[in-house]
Amino acid sequence: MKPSTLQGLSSLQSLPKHELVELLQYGESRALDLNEVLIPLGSKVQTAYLLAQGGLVAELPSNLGSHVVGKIWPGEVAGEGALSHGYWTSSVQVRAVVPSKVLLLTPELFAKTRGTRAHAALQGHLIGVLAKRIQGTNLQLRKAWLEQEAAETKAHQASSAKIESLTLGERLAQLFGVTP
Amino acid sequence: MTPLYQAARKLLDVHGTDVEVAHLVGVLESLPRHTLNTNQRLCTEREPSADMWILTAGCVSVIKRDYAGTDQEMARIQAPALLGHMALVTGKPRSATCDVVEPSIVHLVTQERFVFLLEDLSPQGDAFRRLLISSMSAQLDSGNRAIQRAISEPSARNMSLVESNLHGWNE
Repeated sequence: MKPSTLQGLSSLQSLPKHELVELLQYGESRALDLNEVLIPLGSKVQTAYLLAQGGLVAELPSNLGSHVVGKIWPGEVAGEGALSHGYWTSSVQVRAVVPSKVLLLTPELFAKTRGTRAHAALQGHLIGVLAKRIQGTNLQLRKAWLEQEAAETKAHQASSAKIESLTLGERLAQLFGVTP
Repeated sequence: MTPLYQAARKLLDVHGTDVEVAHLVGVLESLPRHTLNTNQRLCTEREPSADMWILTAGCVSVIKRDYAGTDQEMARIQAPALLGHMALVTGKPRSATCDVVEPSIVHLVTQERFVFLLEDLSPQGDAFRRLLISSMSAQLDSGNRAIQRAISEPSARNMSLVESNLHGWNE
């Protein structure tokens, strides 16, 4: 991976090139082909991945195809559970939907760059990414609740004895890819 | 071992962060310390926010308006804990009200101090950022578990509990 690829991420763009080179020197990067699986479903993941270029999806594969539960854009992170627990059992499969490049956020990367601006900028970037993920999940919840209320109101106005649309639980399950 | 050292160690243990305790103690010692009495209000839901706190002694009650519009106690948070950091990170209003339920001690992180710590290259700055990352990652994890509960038992309270967990307002 070239330093300029990382410089495309807004939180890191102010870093001088030599600091980005240092990040790449200690941080392993990986190129993914189209449809290549980065994180298999149910695998024990010990590393979080920063998507530097391309696009990934988090999905639940099944015999009927896969159900996409989230999209990961450049600058976002896959496997963030590893940042707090040291490992993480994946409840989804993460797959590249275009050729992509990821930086492995290993403990070694953080240990070897500690005390540098690149290290602090990367941590700041992760804080922003996690905040965005939390806000996004909250928005999805609010949306599901409002859709449910609208569906119930509609059913009530139609004097329908039974609501034909999804229940709230089914709506949430569909959004987050969980079996109700 | 001082109470502050014990609180810092416990906080790091809870979040599974291998930061040196002394570095987090260094952060805490650099912050203004406030003693709070029972029933004192720390923050109010939907109000603008510019501070976060590190609770090192005592307990606070978290009250949140649920999805049906009723104020409910969502959690009682025992020290040590990070409080109110999401509003600082996102710039959004407070997502819950916090009332002190027993005499407590908090260490205040103002917006200015927060920005300083985000950029500070010393081990103290690193300790603070690692604690924040670990806490937010755990919030997502506990939010996901709360989503499972909301799916099997959908209710206004369970929906709000997901939101509380995602914002770090959980026990």
